Amino acid sequence: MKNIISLLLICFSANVLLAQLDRSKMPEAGPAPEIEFGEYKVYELDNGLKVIVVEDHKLPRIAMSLTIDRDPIYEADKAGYVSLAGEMLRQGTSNRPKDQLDEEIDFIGASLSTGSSSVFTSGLSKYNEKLMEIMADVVLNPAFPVEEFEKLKKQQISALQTAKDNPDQIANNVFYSVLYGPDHPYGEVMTTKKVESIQLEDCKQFYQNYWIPNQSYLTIVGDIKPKAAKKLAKKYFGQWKEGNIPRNSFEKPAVPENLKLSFANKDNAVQSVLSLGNTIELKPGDPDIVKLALANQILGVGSMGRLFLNIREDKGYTYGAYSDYEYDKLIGSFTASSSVRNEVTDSAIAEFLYEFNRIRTEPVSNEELEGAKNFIIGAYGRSLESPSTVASFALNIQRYNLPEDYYENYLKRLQALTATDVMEAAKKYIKPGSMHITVVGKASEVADKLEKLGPIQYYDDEGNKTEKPSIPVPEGVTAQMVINNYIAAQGGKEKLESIKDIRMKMDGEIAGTPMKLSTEMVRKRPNKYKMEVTASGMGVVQKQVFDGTKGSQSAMGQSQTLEGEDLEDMKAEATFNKEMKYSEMGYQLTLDRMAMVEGKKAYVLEVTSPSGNTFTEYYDAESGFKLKEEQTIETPQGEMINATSYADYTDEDGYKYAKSIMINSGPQVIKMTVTEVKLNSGVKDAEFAN
Amino acid sequence: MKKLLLASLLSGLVIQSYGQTQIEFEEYTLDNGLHVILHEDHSTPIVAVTVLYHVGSKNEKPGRTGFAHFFEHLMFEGSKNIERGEFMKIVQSNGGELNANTTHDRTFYYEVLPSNQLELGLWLESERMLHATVDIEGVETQREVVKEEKRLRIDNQPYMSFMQNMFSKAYKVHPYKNIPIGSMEDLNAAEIGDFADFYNTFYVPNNATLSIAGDIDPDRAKELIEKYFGSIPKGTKDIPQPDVNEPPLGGEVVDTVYDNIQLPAIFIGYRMPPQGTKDAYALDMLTTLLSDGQSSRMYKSLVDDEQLALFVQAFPFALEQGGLFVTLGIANMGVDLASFRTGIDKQVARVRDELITEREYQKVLNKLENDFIASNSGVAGIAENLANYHVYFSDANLINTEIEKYREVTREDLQQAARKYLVNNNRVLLYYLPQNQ
Repeated sequence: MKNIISLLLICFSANVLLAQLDRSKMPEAGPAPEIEFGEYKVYELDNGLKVIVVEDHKLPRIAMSLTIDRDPIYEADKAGYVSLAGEMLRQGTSNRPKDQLDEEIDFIGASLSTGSSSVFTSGLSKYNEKLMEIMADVVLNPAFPVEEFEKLKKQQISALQTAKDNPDQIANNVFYSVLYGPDHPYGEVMTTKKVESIQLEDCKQFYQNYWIPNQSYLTIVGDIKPKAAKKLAKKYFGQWKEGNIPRNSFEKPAVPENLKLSFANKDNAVQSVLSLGNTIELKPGDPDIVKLALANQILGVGSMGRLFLNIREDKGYTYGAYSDYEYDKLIGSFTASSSVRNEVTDSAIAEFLYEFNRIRTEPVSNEELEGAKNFIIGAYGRSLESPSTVASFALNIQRYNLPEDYYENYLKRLQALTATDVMEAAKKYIKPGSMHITVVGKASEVADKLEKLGPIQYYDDEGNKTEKPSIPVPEGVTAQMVINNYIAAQGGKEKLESIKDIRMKMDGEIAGTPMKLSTEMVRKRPNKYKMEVTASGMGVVQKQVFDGTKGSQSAMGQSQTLEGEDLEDMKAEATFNKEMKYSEMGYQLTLDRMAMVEGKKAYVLEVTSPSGNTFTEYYDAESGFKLKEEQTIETPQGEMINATSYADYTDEDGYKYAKSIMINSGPQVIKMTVTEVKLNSGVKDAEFAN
Repeated sequence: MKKLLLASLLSGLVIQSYGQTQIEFEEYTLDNGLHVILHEDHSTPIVAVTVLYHVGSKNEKPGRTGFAHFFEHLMFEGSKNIERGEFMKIVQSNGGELNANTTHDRTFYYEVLPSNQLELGLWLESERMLHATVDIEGVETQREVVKEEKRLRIDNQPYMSFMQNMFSKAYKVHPYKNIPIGSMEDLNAAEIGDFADFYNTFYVPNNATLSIAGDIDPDRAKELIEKYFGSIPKGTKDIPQPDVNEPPLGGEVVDTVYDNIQLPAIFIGYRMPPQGTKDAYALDMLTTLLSDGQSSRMYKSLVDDEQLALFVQAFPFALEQGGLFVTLGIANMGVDLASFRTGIDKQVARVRDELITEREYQKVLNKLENDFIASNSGVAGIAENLANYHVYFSDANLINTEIEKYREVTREDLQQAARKYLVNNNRVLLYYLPQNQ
């Protein structure tokens, strides 16, 4: 009989082998296995402590954790005392000095750690009772020894000092501070000064107020019977006295109306640390969570996320780019981050914003949708291998009052989601129009390109507002010297004074549009000026004229005579070699810093006209040429910077002029190239008639 | 096991000892030499599909260091039937995770998949074994990736050059003098023929162990294994393993390394006997005694009491043909390195000079028992452990019994091992100092 069976088996397997194996086809999956979420028991002790037990006898181990489900705390000028209090719990009890505590834990091969709202211990299940007894001793009878407190405080301060230069740490400080506000528990920053002012009493107070059984959960996972676990919990935690639950409430963080750019300068950075994000209203148990999880998966999780594929794989700006979200009882967040090379900082931000907008406005492909679902379901399945996952699910169900079948339904709801659901969740929770973007990097190389996105607020590494970082001016250099250098660079005083008139033609284009512009500019000594802009197929679109006393300007057929301040400004603008005449015309010049402009070190001149207008002018420290002029103007949308940049200085008969001119006016960029320059061609006064 | 359980319940002595420690498995070898190990466990609907190739940096030819680790990268490029770059995507979009790692002695690949995707895992691994894409384009791509990895994990990580510095001084002849990341110059110099030769020599079924753990039907798994791996031809080349007689170190080697670090550090490496020997187990136990836990000797004396160090650790870098017993410490700000070294040496001298106490001995065994059990807490770990034990010791069942090897080591054995190996003329001592000093 046995022989026949094995013979049959051989025949059977031979058949399998004979079946042609087509390697070019990826095997089909079998029927999807049922993911079971495991069972747990919940008990409540008389003092309100909830005990959750997950029974799992696969290995002779046990893990226990205590969670204090407390409200967030704003620590103000002592930020750090809450986490320090958590560490203090591990420093010995009134029954066991620290050395003895260490020895007893190590002797049974176990581990025990404490935090501001939790204690965790694990070991072999033959020591179940011992572990529970030690854990309860730590929770109920902490000794708060003063010498250990001083030691921990010192360690915390030196850790902060070591992290001071760490760009990721600075990014965290600044980003969360602007995202939530510095007066919010999620936005406050720990500093050495704040840690120094912490007293042992602060830690004790926190422990006494918040570590109470009636807002706590004890989860017990592993090789133990639920009833035995309950019995042990009662024996060791039954004496824990309940207390009044402290409640803290906080204002919702303000949501910016536009993109908000924050910058922390780090002079030696070769990479910019980018953080982008917005707060979201998404509480535990919200049916939208699964939708945002899927949208975020497609957008920014791992090496299959769009951010990774675009910013790393396609553009090569970085080693990784990811996004994340968090739901929270108080306030949640959507965030994204990457570290990118200095020179691509602005481009990388543009790609982030592009991907945020794309997932909000276009349905994802079916391939992306199914791949992301499988990824999430697979990760769920793998996580359930650890019984502590079951315990954390049980804990969430309890503390957030979720339905018992929340996690089972989660995967069912995930399976049912469509591309439209993903788009809607993205639209609701990812808000590129009103996001915070923080950059930690080298301001002198990175910042001026970012200014195109909007005004930048600078911060120090602890998240305090600061001025734009500046480079000091070398001793002895004055504003007049900078002007003199510029005149010399252009050909010298004598050469400039020999020029009576200039006629200049330029070709231009408006970035992002097909429009071609041609411009003619005519100047005649001492202050006659004309500029005409012609657009292809539209004729003259803009004209400015000044004849020495009267001026006018017209745009798209609308003409306007210049008066008052506008006329004064035009007069100044029309002045031949106006920089030579600044003092004569009553301009105030201030030189108190230097800055980098397109990688060049430049003197920064604040120029104030008699009428009170202020310009900022940048002069190349090396060549002397003017690199840029900026003016900040008020618009109904807020402040805007108009900038004109000069480059490619070219020689025409001993006179040096900028061949490339770029005008940034808010979001608009106009690039112009000089095509023709005529000097002293005998320009007639009639050209400047109004 | 069931009987045992019943007995203990009846006797009513212990109520806690339900835990099952026995890991059941079966193993067999295909005609082409591929060794197969199967562990069935239905508690979670996932399966770990792993392949261990018995090739590491010690199998590299001179002038071709870094090859084994480089192959770990190259083996994700694709195969005849898997397009370039698709390997990882296939696994992830089918709900799995994957990775690989390389040591001095072996290279290990794994996928953890939903259990209905067992066949997918077998297809992927068989494609890799049968006809992986080894071409110039993949080599060029992965060269850059490996350089980036070296920059990220070694060059830019404070202290991480210690491995190369330590092994290159501890071994003069044996290929253990190189570490898996190898030299970028060697990788640049290599030609496509070198890569093809390496693949044909080492990536063959008779040099591999297929270890599968999780929610499987073993009969069905065997059919599928035969289907995908049965027809892969056996390798035709010799699989060389180093046969080198490394002379004794013959005196303490001391050197100073200037690194981009804030705090000075000390690294000490004592040459070890091969893993699996009684002395190697003894040295492993001594590292636990010295630095595992806050009550351990080095932690207690150097970090807690004297506050000479921010961090101390002793660990066994145990390898197939030797290895290093490493002790290291990062000094606190302003600590004099000579007194720090004296502090470390004092602790090492103590294990040579005195028997450890009964209580400490028991503590070490308890810690090792805990670690031993914890190491089998997931299917991926179980599959890897089974493969390692088979390849290194031809005894996969050590997954259940290795703890006995430690228990056989007596307190006297510990002292003997310390006296034999933890001596100055058997060690390399490296001082790490900040670059700007």
